[in-house]
Amino acid sequence: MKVTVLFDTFPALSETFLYNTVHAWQQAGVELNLLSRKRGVSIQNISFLSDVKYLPSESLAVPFKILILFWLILRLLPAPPKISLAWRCVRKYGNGIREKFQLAYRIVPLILNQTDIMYIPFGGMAVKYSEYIRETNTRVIFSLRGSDICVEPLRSETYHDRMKQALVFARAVHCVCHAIESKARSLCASANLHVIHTALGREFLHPKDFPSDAGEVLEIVSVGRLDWKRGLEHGIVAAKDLSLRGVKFRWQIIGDGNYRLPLQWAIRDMEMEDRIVLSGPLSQKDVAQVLRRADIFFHPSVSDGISNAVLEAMSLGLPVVACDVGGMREAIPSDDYGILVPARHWKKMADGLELLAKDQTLRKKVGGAARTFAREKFSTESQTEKFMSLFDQVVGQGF
Amino acid sequence: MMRVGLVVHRFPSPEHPYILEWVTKIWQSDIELIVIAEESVMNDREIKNLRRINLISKPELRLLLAGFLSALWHPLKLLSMLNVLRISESGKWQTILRKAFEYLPLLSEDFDLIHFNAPQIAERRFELKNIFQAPGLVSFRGQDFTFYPDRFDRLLRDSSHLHFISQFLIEQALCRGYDGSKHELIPPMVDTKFYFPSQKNADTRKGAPWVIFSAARLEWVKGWEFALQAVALLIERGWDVRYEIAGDGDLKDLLLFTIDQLGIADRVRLLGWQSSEQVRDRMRTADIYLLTSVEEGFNNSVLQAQACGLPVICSNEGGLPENIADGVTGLLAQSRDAWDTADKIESLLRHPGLLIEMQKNALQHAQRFSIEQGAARFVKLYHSLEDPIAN
Repeated sequence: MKVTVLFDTFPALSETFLYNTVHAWQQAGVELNLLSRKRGVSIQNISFLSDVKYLPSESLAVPFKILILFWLILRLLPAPPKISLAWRCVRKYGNGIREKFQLAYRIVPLILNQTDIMYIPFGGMAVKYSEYIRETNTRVIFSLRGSDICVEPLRSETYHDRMKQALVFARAVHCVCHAIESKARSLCASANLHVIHTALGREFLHPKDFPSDAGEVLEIVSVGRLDWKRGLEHGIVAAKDLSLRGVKFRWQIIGDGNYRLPLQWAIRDMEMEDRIVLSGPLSQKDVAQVLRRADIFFHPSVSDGISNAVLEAMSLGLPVVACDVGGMREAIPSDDYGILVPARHWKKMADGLELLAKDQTLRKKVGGAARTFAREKFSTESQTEKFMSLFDQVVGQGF
Repeated sequence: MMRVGLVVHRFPSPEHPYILEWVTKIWQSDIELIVIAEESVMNDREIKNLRRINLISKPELRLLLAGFLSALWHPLKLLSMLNVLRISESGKWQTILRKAFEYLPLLSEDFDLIHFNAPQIAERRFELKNIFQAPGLVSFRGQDFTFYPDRFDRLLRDSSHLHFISQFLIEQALCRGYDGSKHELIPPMVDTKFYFPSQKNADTRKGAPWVIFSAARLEWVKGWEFALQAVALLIERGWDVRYEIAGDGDLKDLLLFTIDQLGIADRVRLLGWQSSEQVRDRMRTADIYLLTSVEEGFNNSVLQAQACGLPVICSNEGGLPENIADGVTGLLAQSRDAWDTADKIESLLRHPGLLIEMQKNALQHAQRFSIEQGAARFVKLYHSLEDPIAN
């Protein structure tokens, strides 16, 4: 079986989990055809995915684009059905010659790369190629991971409609959790939705991992992109409350993003500079190191699918305080595996943190249960198995 | 007649719309105010009609010629300008030449005082005070100074005088080592001839939902999540409220998402960008003005709302406690606390008598910030700085 995977930017630091997934497919016998729209900055050794082909850049000057399209069409010539397919797309969609040209430029490289299955790892990208998904009748599978279905459709009517199109015409849609599935279902009842939970990376699966015992100061850690969806400002209010309750702690926030200034300001404004540290982005390996030394993982997110960061912390035996949004309940199904609190509710966040902070036995108990649960439920094996059966099902449908 | 050069980034500033009014008021006094702007949102004809505006990025030919002539006439002046630029730009010749060209039209002028309207522009153009050998006055208005206080140490030290719009900012400056010896506190102003209440009919609101209104950019500093959450709490407690938000900005997706998640889409309206007239009209018909900013130098919209006789609930952040009179024209709520904000709103909704009392008080309170008074205070401040300081 040959699967084409369409990345947006390759390689990208924040998408290591995706490379792990795809790598596991390869090991399960899938032949990969890797495409990427943009070239990223090389970040680490991902040699197993070295044969990535880059699609023609969309930021080129028009004359170059015309030349490239001409060349692509020449390459289409040996396969008349592909030509008619491209022609059908271009005739049907896009207003005016300019839009039609852009569409052809976007779609023809994909038509040239048709394999048994095309996999698009992000909903936002599937929206970009919705005409292709609709018209080509290829077996497209795409993933919904969070804001692509929870936030973006609210922002733009066009996006909303195109997402609907993509949901209707994709052969299957992969949802990272049940919460995303129901969100997608409410947008399009007829979509072929499949929930496959994210798998844990190998960095987080050392057999002996258990957090070290608390020193005098409690170590709290958060990992994630610094944007408003992470709800860290609410977390800072909770941390202020926690410190007023007399708990001694240090909270390290790992990650970078456009919300750095608001967080810096909140920390300074609430006089928490000696307790809260924004330590910038770290590699997966270093994140694992920090988590091993920590006592509590704190995830005050307001919007999420199923947070990889939370699963990773759980797999290392860390007790988690997180907000009950999106698919977080699937990662923490009951109080035995972590503490869920309502989003933006700083008082309850502080309650949860205080409860864990004051009780080391409870931390050990919850952390241990979380560790076992995460490692069992979010293993690469079960994820790959489910993807393989999904691929088989889709290929079995025929064209 | 005293001549003051007012250095601004954009004229008239969209963030401070009252500034055009204020400048007009100053022109009516015995101060000759010359605006030196980097950009303008007005067209050339409007600028020409005003006459006393220099756009340094796009100099007027007449002024450019005058500048050349005066440079020929006073070669020493040109040389001293180049010398000042040489020192201030430490040898970056491209910048020196660009700035020399920009300042050439000003060369025929003389100034007794250079007033920088914001610390950012003072940072970029501080050499102007040396070129004209005049004292420099710098206005501090918030945000940049709050977020990057260490960036403006030089201004705090080297300005002849400082103007702050709130006590909060003065305290920020004192934290940076400013000795507190050379400042004036003049709060922002509100055009009370534009912002005033309409004749409200007290009976019209029978049974109608309470209308809460906010007008601000959709940016993180405004703390929108806390406002929306407070409104959601009120609805949860059974209050029939509507929340209207005027404004646009980068953070619209956060608002849309939060509204959707809190399930209050049928109670909240995002009106998008609104003209000053539209905002004023909303202020006249709403019941409560709400602002849950997490940072604020002073805030003009809160002042405008009070001028329209609208009680204000706002966070106790930055200059806001100086803007409203707590318990008299509105209530201060704990910053970043939706529960406290909801409680404060609820305490007004429970006591309509208090609400009416506050409407009257707000109107009176806003009179203290009239442009007439503000302009008079600036004229006085300018005169006090008139004599060139020795050294």
